[in-house]
Amino acid sequence: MSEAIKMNRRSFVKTAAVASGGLVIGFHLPPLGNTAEAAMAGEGTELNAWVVVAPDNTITIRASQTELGQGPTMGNLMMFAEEMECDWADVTFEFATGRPEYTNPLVGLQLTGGSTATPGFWDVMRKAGAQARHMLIQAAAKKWGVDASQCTARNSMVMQGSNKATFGDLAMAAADETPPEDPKLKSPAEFKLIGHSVKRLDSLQKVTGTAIFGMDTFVDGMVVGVVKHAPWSGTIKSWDSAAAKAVDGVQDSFLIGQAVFPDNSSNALVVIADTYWQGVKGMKAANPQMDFGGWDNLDDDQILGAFKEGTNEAGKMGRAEGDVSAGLSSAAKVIEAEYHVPYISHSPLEPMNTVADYRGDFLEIWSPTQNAGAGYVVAAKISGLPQEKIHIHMTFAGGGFGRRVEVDYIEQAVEASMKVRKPVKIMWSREEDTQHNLNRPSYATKFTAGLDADGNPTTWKQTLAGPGIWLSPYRSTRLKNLFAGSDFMKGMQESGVDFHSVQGAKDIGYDFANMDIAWTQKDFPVPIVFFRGVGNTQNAFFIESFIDEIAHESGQDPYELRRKLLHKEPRMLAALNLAAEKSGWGNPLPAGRHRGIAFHNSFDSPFCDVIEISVRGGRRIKIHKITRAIDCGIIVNPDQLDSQFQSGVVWGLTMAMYSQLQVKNGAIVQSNFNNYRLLRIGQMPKFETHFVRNTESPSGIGEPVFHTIAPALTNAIFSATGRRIRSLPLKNHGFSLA
Amino acid sequence: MITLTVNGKSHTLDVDPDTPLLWVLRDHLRLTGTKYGCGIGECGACGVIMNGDLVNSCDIELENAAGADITTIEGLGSGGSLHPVQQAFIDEDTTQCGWCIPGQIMAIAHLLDSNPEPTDAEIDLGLKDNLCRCGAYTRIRRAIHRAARASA
Ligand code: FES
Ligand code: FES
Repeated sequence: MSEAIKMNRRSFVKTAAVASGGLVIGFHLPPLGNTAEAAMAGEGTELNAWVVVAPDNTITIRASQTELGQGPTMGNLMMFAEEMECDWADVTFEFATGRPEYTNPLVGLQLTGGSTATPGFWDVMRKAGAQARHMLIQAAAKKWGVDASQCTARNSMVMQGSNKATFGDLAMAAADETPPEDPKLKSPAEFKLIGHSVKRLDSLQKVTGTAIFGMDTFVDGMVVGVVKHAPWSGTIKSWDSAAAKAVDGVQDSFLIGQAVFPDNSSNALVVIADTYWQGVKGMKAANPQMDFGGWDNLDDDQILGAFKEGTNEAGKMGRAEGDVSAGLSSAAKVIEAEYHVPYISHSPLEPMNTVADYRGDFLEIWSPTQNAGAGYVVAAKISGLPQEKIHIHMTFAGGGFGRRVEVDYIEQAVEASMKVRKPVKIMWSREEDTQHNLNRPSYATKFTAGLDADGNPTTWKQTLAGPGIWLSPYRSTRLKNLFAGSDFMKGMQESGVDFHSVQGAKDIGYDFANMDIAWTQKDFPVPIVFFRGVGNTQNAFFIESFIDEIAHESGQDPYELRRKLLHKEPRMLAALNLAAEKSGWGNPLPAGRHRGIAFHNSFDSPFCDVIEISVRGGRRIKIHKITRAIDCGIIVNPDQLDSQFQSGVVWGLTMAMYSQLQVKNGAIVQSNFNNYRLLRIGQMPKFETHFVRNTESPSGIGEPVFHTIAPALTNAIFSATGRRIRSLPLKNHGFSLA
Repeated sequence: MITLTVNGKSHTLDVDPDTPLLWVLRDHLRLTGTKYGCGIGECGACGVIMNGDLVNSCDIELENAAGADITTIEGLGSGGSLHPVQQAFIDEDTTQCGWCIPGQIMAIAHLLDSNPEPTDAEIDLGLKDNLCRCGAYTRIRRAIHRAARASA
């Protein structure tokens, strides 16, 4: 892989990390002092920010990454335990926030997302684990009067000759030891835990209903705040507070949505009640009246119309190579196509919620958030308290998928608690969650390809149009506010190209002599944010479909064409070849069966899917088999990975078949799972996964796992029916899943 | 005042009779293992066993549960040991975020009660009302087959 491209891919995280560095935002994270967590772990000695060892040898490793289901927590614990030499049976964990050590080095905030949990903490966790081991060994050596180099650690014990002591025995003395600054880390050949399947540590809690998620938090004296949001760029004009108060259990109703960041404030009415259901009834009685702020008529036609127009404008250049005009005018054949995708929502199964308890001189928060780091910043801004006087408890989160990188629900809880001077649990209904989500943006794109006399594409032009998550003047990620003034933000403002709009488009591995990737910014007030995979979710569908069109138009095999175009990228080529080989690409299929292939590289993990289908009556799709191949470097926990490949199939098919939020009269039409459909168990097809084996550092998994499903499916549909699908979801084209 | 039995314990409640059973369990009895996902009977996260039937507790108003015998995820195991379905979920490392899991387990336990060895097609039917946004379906299916074998 060329260095230039590598830089491109990582430039968001790298620049953001450099940019944040505490300077711009003035982050001030509390120094140590999270004794609450140490106490929670019961009796024990803290060796460093990451671990507490109890006398009975229970080793509590701290998880700084939210456990959203994709296993970021588990992978990080394993990396730590590997170097510390823990017996996995002795390991338990707790969530921890607020110390500088917990900052995600790839982002500059304590944030879980961007598939950074494993790559971001790969060195951090292993180093801290090794340091803890050194401390224990040094303590043992002193105790036995031997040289530390004679001692070894294994299975939560230190040994030397006939001497033996558990970590628990040594922890107290070890706490006084100073570990080496840069301990030597194991080579992959020495791994005992990494690369092996270990069981999740949270299963027992989750299957018995005892895991405490945000919504399951109850604190003494707590009331519930049910919220209803104003239209996106609008306000709540009025409501009947007396009628609300007349409802049994309702105490108060007021507006929240303080302008922490003016472009990101969201106005909402909150009804305070003893219980959720009373709050819901109170909200009904309050009957809030909305003002749409002039956007009453906003709808899909207007939005998509603007985007389509945008694809005909010059746009801002995200990447330019060679001479596209010359390439097109000298081409033997020019092919064009337009594509588009709708807004879609994350819809984690646990709707947004958070508990805040403002006590004047201290603020305590319980939140299922992916972004405790931003949580501290906004909580400090609203409360006026220094961050030392705030503590965020990270709870289990019922899914996140990027939605919980935003912390609007934390802002709401803090504001409401300050108002009523009681602990408040902010609760969104599923309807609020669906209609006031910050969504994956809708986009349109236009491709123009120039083919030479042999049918090979030598010129590639893609113009995208849509809103910019970072550059939108409307509601979008708070990270744009938190990173304001950073080099990363300045770079985007100067170039006019939003990082995530062209993500997965400007960094493709295909080799074209001439290449333009342009983006035209068209913003609307529909709130937007990062969605699992972000820009790749639309761009993989767009690009992989159009590559298929080129293959068809030039009479080439779609796999062979991709092989040719990836000739400069050995790792990508290996993943592509593996999927083709394992799926039996090119082998004859039974009558009525058809295959589609799609490749995409994201988060440094090349991924390829081959899908085999048949189509009945031109509309009913039966998926016979999905063959998946990936290169994600060293595999930390194969079992967790397998879980993610399964999840990727569900996400890919859900997005391909159903996902669509429609805009009508300035609001989202869909409201709940009856009209925003998700895949169900009966539609889950068989799949198999294959890995390119190597010893590269681990790369992202949680996001790359589903981008290639939709295009592989639509390419298979083309092969089966001759119908080229140029927009999602497939239900709009009359297709259903058998 | 409405009386009902939850996990073998009788409760007499002074709660609005139109309150969905889900919120009675969560807010009044603090049995938070039963989850809220949609509130309209579409996701199955709130599934409990009421008088032997699997119901979505978001769909049942308290007055319609008067006198009922209810089992929630907290009451599923017996004598401090896990139900075979719970054990199978652990053994198959099925859970992801975990929010849908109690509802899935209640639905499966109920399915296995009447059909100890369901086929894949019967699983599809029996679990059609349970959404998993994380997409753990393959492993949920494996856990069902494992639990069926374990109880055989
Ligand atoms: S919460 Fe009851 S079915 Fe979804
Ligand atoms: S495990 Fe997250 S919704 Fe099923």
